Amino acid sequence: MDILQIVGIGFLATVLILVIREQKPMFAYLLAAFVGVAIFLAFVGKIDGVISVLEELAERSGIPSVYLKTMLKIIGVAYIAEFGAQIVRDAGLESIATKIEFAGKMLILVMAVPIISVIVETVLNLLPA
Amino acid sequence: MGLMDALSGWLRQVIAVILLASLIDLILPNRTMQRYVRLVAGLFILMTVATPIMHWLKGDFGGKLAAGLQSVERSPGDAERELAMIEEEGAKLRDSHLAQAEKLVAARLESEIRGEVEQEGRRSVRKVDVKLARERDGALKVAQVVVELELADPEAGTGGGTQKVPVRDIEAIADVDIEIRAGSIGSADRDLPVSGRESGDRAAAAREDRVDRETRTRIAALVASRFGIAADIVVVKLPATAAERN
Repeated sequence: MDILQIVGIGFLATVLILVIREQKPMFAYLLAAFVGVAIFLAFVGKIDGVISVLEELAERSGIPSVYLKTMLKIIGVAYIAEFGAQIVRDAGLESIATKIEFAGKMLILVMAVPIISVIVETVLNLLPA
Repeated sequence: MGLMDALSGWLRQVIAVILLASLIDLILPNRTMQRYVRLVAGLFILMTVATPIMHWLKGDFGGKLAAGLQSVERSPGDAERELAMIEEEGAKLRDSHLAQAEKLVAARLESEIRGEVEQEGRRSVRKVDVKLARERDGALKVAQVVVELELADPEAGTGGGTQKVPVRDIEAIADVDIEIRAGSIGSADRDLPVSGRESGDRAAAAREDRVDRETRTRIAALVASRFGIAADIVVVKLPATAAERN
């Protein structure tokens, strides 16, 4: 049922935006951004179920909680960066959208730095001095 | 069996991490981030696979990794706040240590004064209360010493405390207590007729008063001389009737 509502809202918003864009492009953009935020916020809560399943899995299999936390953070960063970038892209500012995506990628890589350093250290220890 | 357990645990971890990675790959919003997330997920899988080797090489790599990941999350502002928090905690700890030391010093001093008064002053002590104050430079200072004496017969204060004879006198004084109040209220009107017994009571009360004062000064002087405390901060309280008059 939810998906029908979402598709309906999206369809309606698209028609409205197409109509308004001829007269006031600014309002068309604002409407697009607003509808995007509304749908995102309405359904971002649903990810809770997935995350709880992941947490249970991690707990039962005994993998360190740091792994799961880092991975969830990566997903969060990816989602938020993607969302912001698309809103900016809607306004036609491709360059700024690219920068936002770049920032997201950098943040994800920064999270990987400790893992990389531990692995590199291990490999160096494996080699005879 | 231990080896088999470790092996099965390791296998379970590997499978769980791979499942986790594939799920996260599924959740991802679009392809631009996919390569990066796959890199991190792959590193995690590699870490999990290599866990036994890492354990073999060095003990606590998990703790190191956790510390590294947490330090990445912290921004400099957080570090400052944390430092302030740690400092505050240190101050709190120091305060509690000081308070504890203060309590200990007071308790030691109280027991010493009690012993000294009981031994030298030949009066049994009900309670010794030492109040300490902190000077501006943080050094401790005795602010007040209150010595409460047990009820004893007046002669015991000056003479030997083991005399049994004056016990009779105490009974007589018990009557006098009422008369003392009457005397102190009516001290202005001396011209009232006073019976011979009453005048004798008054003399006894005066004698008791003098004895009390003597005891008080004596014990205050004793405490002051033994412990190097100024005599004016030593308060000696005699049992109820005398204390009221004080």
